[in-house]
Amino acid sequence: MAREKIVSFSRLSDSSKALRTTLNPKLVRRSFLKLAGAAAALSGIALAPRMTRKVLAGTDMAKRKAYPGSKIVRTICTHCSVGCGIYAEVQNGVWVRQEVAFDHPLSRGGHCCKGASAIDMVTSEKRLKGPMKRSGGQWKRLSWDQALNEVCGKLLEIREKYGPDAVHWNGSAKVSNEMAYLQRKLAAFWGTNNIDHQARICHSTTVAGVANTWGYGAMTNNVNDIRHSRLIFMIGSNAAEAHPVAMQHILYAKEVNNAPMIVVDPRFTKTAAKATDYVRIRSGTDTAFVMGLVNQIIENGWYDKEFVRTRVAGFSEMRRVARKYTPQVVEEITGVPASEVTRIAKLMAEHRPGTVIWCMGGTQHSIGSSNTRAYCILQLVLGNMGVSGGGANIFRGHDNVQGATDMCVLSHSLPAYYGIKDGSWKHWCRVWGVDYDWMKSRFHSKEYMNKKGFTLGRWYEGVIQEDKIDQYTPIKAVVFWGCASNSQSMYHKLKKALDKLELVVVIDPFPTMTAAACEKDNIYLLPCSSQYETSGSLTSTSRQLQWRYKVVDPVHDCKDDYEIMAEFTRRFGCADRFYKNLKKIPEDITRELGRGSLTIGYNGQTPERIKKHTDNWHTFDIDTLQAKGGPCDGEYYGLPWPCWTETHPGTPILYDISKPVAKGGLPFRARFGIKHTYDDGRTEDLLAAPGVANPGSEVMGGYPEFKDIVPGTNWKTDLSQKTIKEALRRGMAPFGNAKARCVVWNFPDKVPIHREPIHSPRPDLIARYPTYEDKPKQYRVYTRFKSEQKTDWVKEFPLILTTGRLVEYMGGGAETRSNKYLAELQPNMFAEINIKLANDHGIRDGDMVWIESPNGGKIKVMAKISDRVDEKTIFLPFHFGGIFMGRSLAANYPKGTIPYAIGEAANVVTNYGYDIVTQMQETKTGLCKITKA
Amino acid sequence: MARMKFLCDVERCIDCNGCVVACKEGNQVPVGINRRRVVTINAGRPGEKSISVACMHCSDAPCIAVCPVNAIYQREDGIVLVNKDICIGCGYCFMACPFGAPQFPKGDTFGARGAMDKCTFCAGGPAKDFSEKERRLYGQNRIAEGKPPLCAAMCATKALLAGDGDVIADIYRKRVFRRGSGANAWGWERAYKGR
Amino acid sequence: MKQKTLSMTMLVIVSLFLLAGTRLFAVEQLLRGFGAETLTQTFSQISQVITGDWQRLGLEFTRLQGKIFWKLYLAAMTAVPVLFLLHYLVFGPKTFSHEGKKIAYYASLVRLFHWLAAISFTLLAVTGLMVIFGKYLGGGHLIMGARLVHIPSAVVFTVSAAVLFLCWLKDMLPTGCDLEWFLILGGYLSRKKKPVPAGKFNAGQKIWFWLATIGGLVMAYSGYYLFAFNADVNVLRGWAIVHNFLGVAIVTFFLIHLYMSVFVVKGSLKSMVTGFKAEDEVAIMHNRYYQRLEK
Repeated sequence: MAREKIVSFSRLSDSSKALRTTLNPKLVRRSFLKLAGAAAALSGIALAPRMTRKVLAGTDMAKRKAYPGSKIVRTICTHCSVGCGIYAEVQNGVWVRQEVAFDHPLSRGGHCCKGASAIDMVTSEKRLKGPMKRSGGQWKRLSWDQALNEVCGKLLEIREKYGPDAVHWNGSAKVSNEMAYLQRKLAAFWGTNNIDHQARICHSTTVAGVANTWGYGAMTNNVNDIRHSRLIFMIGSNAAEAHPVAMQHILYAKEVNNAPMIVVDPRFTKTAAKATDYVRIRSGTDTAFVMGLVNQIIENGWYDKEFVRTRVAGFSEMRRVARKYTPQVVEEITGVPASEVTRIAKLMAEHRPGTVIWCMGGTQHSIGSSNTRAYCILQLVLGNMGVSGGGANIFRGHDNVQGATDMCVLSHSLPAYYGIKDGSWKHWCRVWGVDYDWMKSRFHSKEYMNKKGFTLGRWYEGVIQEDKIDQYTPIKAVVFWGCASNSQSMYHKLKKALDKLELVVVIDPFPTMTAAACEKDNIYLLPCSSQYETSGSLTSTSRQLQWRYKVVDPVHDCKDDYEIMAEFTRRFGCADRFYKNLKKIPEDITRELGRGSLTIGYNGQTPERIKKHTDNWHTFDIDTLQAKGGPCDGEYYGLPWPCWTETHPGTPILYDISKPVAKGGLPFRARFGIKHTYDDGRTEDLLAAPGVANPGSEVMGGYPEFKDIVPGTNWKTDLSQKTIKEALRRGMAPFGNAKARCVVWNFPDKVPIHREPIHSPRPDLIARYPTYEDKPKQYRVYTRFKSEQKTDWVKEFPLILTTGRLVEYMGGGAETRSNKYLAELQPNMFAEINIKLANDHGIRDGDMVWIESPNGGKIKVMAKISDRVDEKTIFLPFHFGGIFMGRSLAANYPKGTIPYAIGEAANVVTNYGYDIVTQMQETKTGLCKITKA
Repeated sequence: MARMKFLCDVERCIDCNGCVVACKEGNQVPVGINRRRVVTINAGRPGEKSISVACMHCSDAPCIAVCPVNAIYQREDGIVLVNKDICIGCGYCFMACPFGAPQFPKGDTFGARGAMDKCTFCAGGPAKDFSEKERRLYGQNRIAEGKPPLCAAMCATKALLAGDGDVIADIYRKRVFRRGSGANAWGWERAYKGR
Repeated sequence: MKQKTLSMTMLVIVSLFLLAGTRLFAVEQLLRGFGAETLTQTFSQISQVITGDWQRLGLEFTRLQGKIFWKLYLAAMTAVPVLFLLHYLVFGPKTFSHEGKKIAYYASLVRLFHWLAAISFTLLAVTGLMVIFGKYLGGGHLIMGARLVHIPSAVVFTVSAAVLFLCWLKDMLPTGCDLEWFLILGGYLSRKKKPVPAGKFNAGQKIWFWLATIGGLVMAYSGYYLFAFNADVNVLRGWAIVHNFLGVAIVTFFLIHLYMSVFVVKGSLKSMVTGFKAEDEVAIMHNRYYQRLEK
């Protein structure tokens, strides 16, 4: 009926008359726009019909630009760790629009809603416009000079009065590697180990568990490599919301390889919606479930015997533990039917190589470091390690949390996981070019130099001291440098600390909830620029380094992080020492951190190489991530660490012995000695079995790490890098060739075993699977385990509380909730409640409810009736902030910066509970009760 | 003549709203106007499916048929556009549309609807290419630049395809073949009827 | 008894109209409850969520709005005047002396509201038709303006129609002589001035009255939805169809009313201005009423 109304634009031109008559698409298509979906490359002529006339008249395509004179800047999305590419179109110094980075090897132009509105980070009207402090209850605008003088003056005053450990630094996973490195360096120069960042509450248990299993604590393969998987096992990962672009490759594998996609989660997530098999476990029972799978795989003889014999240590000890997790036991603990355990195990055995993906659903538990090891063991027995399509694909959270973890903005280590022992300090003092004794003089005492500091999850105890602290002074000042406070559990206690501190400094482009939650006159807001207004490298979850070019100069009266750092160090009087090797910012920082970070092979990634990769996205193959021809020929995208030398192509798959070390292969790391005697008296050789080594290796079999090539040093401390080069010359890995271990004898649980969460809904199981003894001195604070785990909590608080991500928001949500389009999609904080539970409590969809935790926190949120959770579980998204225990804090924000969406912070009700090894907060399992408001 | 079409692969769409926000941010669409949205059925249950919907730029578009003022027109490449200078905001197109595409901002007088707004396939509108007016009323004109629409280009999982109908049908057909299951693309029967 | 049945029937018809939209909505809600098993089912479920059951009312609306309505309006606007022209030429107007006794026929309140209704209705009809034939007027600000005039006019009309409804309700109830009136078609098809069986209002006027008040109410109600858009899309489609069909009827009768009062019964127009009718006019045209007055 509307055919006759088609407006013919070609009517405009005489020459197109011929075209009008030929409606057969095949005949004329070649001269017209050929938008081969978003999937095909934009090659050849791409013309719009409306341009017919002009094209026929010979008009130059290049002149048809919406923004004449604009240029494209390549940059990387600042939200999640997948690391999607962005083309920023800049005209006259203004970021005018986001273009599509079709040639990015990972995202292929794809974005989730956050990435699609990345430009808003710069253009948002909610950005802080200049430095501010609260005085007399009112926000007062300051000049940068005044603000910095006051902040630094007060910090020095506190240092003088109470000692350097009275200041706690919260660094960031949202800054570049260079900046993260400077943050860690600043803490060292300040004289404290009280520095931490989001990795503590994100994947600290992964790093600890995984590194202790086979050497490194990072994702072993990469996101693109999932395309080769024949099975995808996702446990505690909601990639569809947390890593949407990674789903591109996951779904590809599902389609092309016909790979079963198994999602194990207490909640039927958007990821589960795409799964072929969904398993609902009770929150906090990952270890029991996975050990149940391991049990079935071993007992049915489905395990990879050759792999286990040659590359796995402690197998029989582990097997003895796994035997206890029969399908029936697993059913009792997890709630998964016994037959389902066997079926999933069989499925995994039949589809190899399969990948295991996990995220915070697995890590944020009091047994997080056991969960992560259990996942590793699962992959080891299946023989899925070191092969394309297999691996432990641990999706990290923030855009640069991998990099910031590598730079160890952490209270227990110096950059590149060197730890904080004397040798580590000496190594880094050499890199920094400062005297070790001078460094020592910065600290309260040598003891505090080697003593782990407070963590992000528990620093507030250093202020309020409800648990006994193990430090000579309470914390008096805290600096949040790119870190949200509302992502930390027990937020009502944290707020108490904010109000008690002498000084709170927030360095962020947005005010964050900290600015609103801290209600005293002790707070300063220093507006740093967003990461698009500065440059540097960042490490994606796939261990790839990408260069994030600066799109525009800092907007408003903002300064970029490097500049603020320079101002801080200048005022602290250590700028000369701090910047001894650093002239060109940030490239010199990249070089310095690379020179020191030998353990993880950051030395091969020079700024020039990283930039070259970012400039040549199109040359990398989407399947292998290897460049075919071009300036990066043969190299893997982003030079995934370890990248041993400046000619090394990067290591796309860790522990892959099918490639020579110099071409990106590696064996398992020899990190735990050569031999070990287990508790049962059995002694096992920890080095790899004979015959197992990378092609071209001088030693065909296991060998220990390299040392004394340069006398007195090993491969980690030889700054000349001769050791590493020598190892590579001999076709060997600098760190040796060993077995991965199933028994981590330096952990409280040598083999992962199930322990009930601190706040368990199953009092009957607490007796059989109790938690640990209390730990009096964990990261400078008494941490309760057994004394907190009471069997009668569940009487008053019968429901399981779990938290998670929404695709629209990121972290504490300060940035994303200040984006009008994202806030429009998720305007309200809510609690997902099963229909049965809701009806039992007389709650209807949209009602306001109170949710209370056993630890005294309570929040008033909107009920959202949902089938995603079962009738014993309540799910809360953790991004909201701005309302505190029923009271709006909107008036506390500086004028004009109240986010578009505010809501209760879920972490007010997340429970007490921390991992035994890393002090990861237990936010994925807790107890709560619900009442209608 | 290339025929522009949209195709959303229901097996790929993960409800990430990337397309929605890409469209809004790229075209500076006011809050409250949804040129594109993601619809989910059976949320939280097996059988949960999501799909991204916008104007499908139908052959034989019903909106064109019902428009009392001929404000809506179809270009030769199949893109259906609205002329906001002519549109009176009557809303008939919304009722005729099988995809719920037409959107209406609240007007100033009596709060009556203003001129209709909908997906332009990122092809701007009848105003001069790249003019300030075009940008303000319709958003970007990416088609004139030889670029695909933002929503599909930025789709996280490549669920949403846009472009020459033959090409994207080929891509989809291959996918369906690889999966060994599937059917016609959602909405195609209604929108394009084989054309 | 007869009167009651008739008014009851009318009530039922009206309430059916009112309910039509809501009922459709309810059926749809029921349909949504079923789970999807096959892809085809999934597809139809998705469609259901997006725009309701388009195949039913959506398709129908598209067909009607695209092809039918404007033709109906065009027909009403051309055929009716042509018929009247013929009628006028054949039978001519009915003229009365207007010299004799005057009978007070319309109270001032009634006249005030009648004219309010008349003006607003004219605006409604004209602007409504402008929208229908917008494409020939180029659309844009002119038609947008017409749409904007349509809205306050509707409010004014609804109020005045309600007042008139109350004032005239008693006289407008159907009576036995209405049938007789229909049988001779009100005597309009004759040049003779034979007394016509009609009360204060004849059957034709009554139809117009009911159409304008109850029909007007339906128009206002449906129009409100078309203005506010605050219902399910299928309900909107239903109302749009009702609005347009009823519009044709009302416009047609409006034209008849116009013709009768301005052309056929000379002086009729004047009586609505002054409030008085000539005795002989009442005697002929409203015979029963006249007889009652005589008593």
